[in-house]
Amino acid sequence: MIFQTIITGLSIGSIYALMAVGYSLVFSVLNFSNFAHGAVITLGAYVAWAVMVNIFQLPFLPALLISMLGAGIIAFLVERIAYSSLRHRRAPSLYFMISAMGMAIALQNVLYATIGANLYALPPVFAQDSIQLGTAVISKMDLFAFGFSILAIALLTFILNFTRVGTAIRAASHDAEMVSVLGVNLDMLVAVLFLLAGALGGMAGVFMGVKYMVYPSMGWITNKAYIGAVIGGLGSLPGAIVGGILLGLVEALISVSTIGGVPLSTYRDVFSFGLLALLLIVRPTGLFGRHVEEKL
Amino acid sequence: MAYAQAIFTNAAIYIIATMGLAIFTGYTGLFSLGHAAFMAIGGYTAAILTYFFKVPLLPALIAGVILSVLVSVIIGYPTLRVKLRSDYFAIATLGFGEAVKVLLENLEITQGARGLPGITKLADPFNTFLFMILTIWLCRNFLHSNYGRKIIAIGQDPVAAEMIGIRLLPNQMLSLAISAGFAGLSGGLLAHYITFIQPAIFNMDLSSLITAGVVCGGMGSLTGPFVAVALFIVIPELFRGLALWRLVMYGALLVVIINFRPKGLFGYEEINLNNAPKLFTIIGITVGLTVAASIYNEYASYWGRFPSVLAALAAAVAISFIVSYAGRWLSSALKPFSAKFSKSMSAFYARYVAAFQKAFTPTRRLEVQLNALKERLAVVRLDHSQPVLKIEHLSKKFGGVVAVNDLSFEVRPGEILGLIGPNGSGKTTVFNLISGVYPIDSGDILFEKKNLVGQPPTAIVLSGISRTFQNIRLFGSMTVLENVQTALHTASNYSLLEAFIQWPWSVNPMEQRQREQALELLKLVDLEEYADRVAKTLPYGLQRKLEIARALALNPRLLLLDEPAAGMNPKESLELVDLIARIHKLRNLTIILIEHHMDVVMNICERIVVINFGSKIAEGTPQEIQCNPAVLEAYLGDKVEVEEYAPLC
Amino acid sequence: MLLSVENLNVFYGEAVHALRDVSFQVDQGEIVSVIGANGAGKSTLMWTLIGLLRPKSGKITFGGKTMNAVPHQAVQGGMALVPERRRLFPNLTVRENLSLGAYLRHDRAKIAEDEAYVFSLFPILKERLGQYAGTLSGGQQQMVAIARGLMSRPKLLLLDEPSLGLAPVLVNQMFDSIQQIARQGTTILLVEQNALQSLKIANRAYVLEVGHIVREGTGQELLRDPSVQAAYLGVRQNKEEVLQNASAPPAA
Repeated sequence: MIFQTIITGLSIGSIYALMAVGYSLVFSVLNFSNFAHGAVITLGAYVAWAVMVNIFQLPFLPALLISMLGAGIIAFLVERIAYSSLRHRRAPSLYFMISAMGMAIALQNVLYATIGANLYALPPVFAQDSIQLGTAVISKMDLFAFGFSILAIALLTFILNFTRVGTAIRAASHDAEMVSVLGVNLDMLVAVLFLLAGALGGMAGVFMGVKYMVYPSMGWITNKAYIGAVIGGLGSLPGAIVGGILLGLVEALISVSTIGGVPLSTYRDVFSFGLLALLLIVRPTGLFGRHVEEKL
Repeated sequence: MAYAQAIFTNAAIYIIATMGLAIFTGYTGLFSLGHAAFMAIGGYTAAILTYFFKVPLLPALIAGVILSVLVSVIIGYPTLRVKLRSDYFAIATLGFGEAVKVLLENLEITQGARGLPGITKLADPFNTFLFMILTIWLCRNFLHSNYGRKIIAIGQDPVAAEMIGIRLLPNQMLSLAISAGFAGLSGGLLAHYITFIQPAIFNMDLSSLITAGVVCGGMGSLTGPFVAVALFIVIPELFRGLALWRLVMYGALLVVIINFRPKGLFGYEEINLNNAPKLFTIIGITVGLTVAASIYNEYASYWGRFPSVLAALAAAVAISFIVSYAGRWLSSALKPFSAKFSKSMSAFYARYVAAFQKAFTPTRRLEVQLNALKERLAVVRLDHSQPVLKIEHLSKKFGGVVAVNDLSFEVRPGEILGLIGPNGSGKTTVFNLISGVYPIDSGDILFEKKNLVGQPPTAIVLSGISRTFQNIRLFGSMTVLENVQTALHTASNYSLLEAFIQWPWSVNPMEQRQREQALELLKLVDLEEYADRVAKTLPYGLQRKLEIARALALNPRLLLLDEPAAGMNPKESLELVDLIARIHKLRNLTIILIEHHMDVVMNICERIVVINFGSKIAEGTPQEIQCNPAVLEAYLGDKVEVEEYAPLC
Repeated sequence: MLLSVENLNVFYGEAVHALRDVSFQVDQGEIVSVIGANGAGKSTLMWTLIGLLRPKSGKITFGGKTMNAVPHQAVQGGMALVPERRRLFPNLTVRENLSLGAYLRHDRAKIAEDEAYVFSLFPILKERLGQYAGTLSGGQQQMVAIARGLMSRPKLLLLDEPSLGLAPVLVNQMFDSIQQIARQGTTILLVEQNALQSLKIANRAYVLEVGHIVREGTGQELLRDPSVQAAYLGVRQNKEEVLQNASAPPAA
């Protein structure tokens, strides 16, 4: 039973981690919480629905790649529309956040206004296949999502640590202005950043769509991924991964727990936010976050 | 007609919540994304009271307000205590909104997701509008009090606010509580107007609506959010077919406004004759659209689609222009009268206040406070038996870097002590340690024998040490006078209730005295002619002077000046020397001065402490310092060359 | 003429006029110093030259081309800035910091050549290649900062306060290194609070005061100028003299 729960937790946790990494990447360089990331993830899932169900009947893997590319491009466009002029004006981070909130509200409701509030299912990748592991029954899809998420994050880590652009991104997370003084085109760097964040988000969106459904407000789940990123320490890549997986595990545990016969699953989201509040009180910089002192 | 009435009543209800949010988000820059939850708490509380317990409307509403306020305190304390980034606070409130919704869906008394149908219709257009006007009046009064100015100051620059003794947590909590209270009132009215509530009503969309209203209307304004939310409610009603696109519009508006016009419609200003034409234009466009929509609806079937669209557009454009130009003409026509009018208004107001004051002798408390305010400019009595400030073995590291290293020196009563050293030697860090901005690693700071170590910055300021900043930190959007007046908050403590109703026996005389006092301080630094200018539009040199005036308003016994002459030419810095000398003499102030302009330091300081790499390398009179080899080496490099190029001694 | 600046005006916000009608030039192979007090606009000048601040008016011509306030164009054209307080990337190794200095270059062989050159200037860096820049001492960090600037093989090296936070003995070494770099053919524009040292090594120098250039001349001329001595070398002057010097018309 507990083993089963852990597997479920890891599976959802790895998807959280995929999304949380997107929040952290953007935050590390631009120092604001990209609340529009949820909408990008949702749109990524809709791209998958379009190419797998609605318009074409592509198989899963090409559809996944197209969704990742689509979400990456959408994320890039969001940056161009909502943030780039603020960036050039060196606007306060509050402005970025407002712009991000506006973008999130607008994009989500464009879906309501055009495609509608219906729930759409993505075709199952492995039918109902599952593996028996001791007492636990693990769905192949969960394993697949977990494996793919880990792979994607490993690829990202490689890019960040062993390529020119990656080195520049890591440097920019400390001092973006100085990076541009060295001749790095910041617009390009930020474009790469949003493409990466969007692509990982698109992947997460597809997995969520397969696991649950595709619907306009599925971006709500990404708020919990954001919580994962905050728990790990916004701006830290390992933090986002650990935070996301931790949150998945906690949620899986809460879903199967009861207090006095009352199942806690109804209050699962409340617990997640409660965990966030608790963490912010105890350690506002998150598990891996760095504390920056303001210069007077 | 009934339809229009319903729309406007709805708008009034949302405006009440928006005014509250304008006080919080508009002035503190913190986003409450779960604000609908406060409306839900107020709405459910009031509805349950009238529904199940047959309580009359007013007490039920008040109960709702009180519960909202209490919950806001519970939410606000932990989240605001840790000085969260604004995005963390936003996500925490989002979670709060979700928690309240889940709770309402699962409680028995709220009847779960089904909600409460059949609430008695106790709210009508009449009492709703009364409540709206009351809300606006209360909010306006609050902002024109010491309480309001403190919140505005925090929103403009929290560090500078702390450095004039404003505590962040209680004031931010107060502003959240006020906004929660009005949200609760709004929720209560909503429940009793639409007579049916369920958890789904108080969703993200509602929070987005009022948030968008505050941002688009303009943060730092009441007029703006009022207009914006009114438009948000009214315009979509005209285009019912586009109902689905309403939220898309709010979102897009947020993006557009923040990118192209971050101050919104009325950022940091309220309605006056200068900006009235803008309001008329907005009204004109709205009325034009209203007429256009009704023309289209009425005549589309008779005239056909295309002609009726044309007619509607023509009408919209014509009406917009007419109203807009009428507004422009009216405001310019009224301008000559406005000066006279405001003069007679203020005369009338003064008479009214005087009459009140004559009828009631001021209370003892008030008298004490008014006198205390007067003593702000009094001479400091010096106690020559002990140093004013004594720094002992002070050390501070940042990461691995030692910023201040075992530093000891003392400041004698009434002296001007120069603190000099090459760039990056740790001078400003010493100020930050004295004023409590950074915690101290080891050592002691004794101010008049009292140890300051571990005290919060606000307590240090209030005990008599105030400072200025190397990079000027003013409250940029306030006027010059308000900057100083805000710093006078410590002298008066009329109650919050008195502030809300502008109680004529305490608030008015206090405000008047504060303004006089602030003007007095401005006179001291030769800024009185700029009293009504917005601070950030002042030239650099004058901003520095204003910062000094603001620091003096706290009635310090020790003043820390951090490079006051930075960015000034030799002539300006000599004027500044005169100003500092004047203040020093006038009030017997003890001053520590960080400065790079050697002529300033040498002309004004009685003693100088030189530090490099966080350690003291010399101490003495200007003459002694000038010939000190260690100082010359730190500043100029090689000793031999110093002899060659700068024969000093 | 390598760099020419004409009537440069830079503002911060609405009210702060940081550079006022600044005009000057730097010729190939020179060391040019700009001295001035804190807040005089020295760093503002550097940030504007590299293209990070957009001037309200004025013209910057570098190597015959007009500059458009775009940093990567300035770097491509051959400028490199070593900023005040070094601004290294502490979370990156010394090697990575240096490699970012050569971000725009693809000629591996020549990059290796330049690496060898900066190691000959600062041999200690070779031993610290794998170390995180944040763990180095102040003097070593300054070396990395200058080396990072040199890695783009600049025609003009902008040095902003290279002596800041260094112990006196290191300050002298730093100025020696700067002269060495100049001898290798890199033109240097140097902004310094340490007026004595920077005037000593400068071919020509300018005095910046509240955004204006108020004096110019050879390094030696300015070292002997009484108003410069008073303001920047600590020579005592009485009030009247200060005022007199202040009202004297600035050299053209």
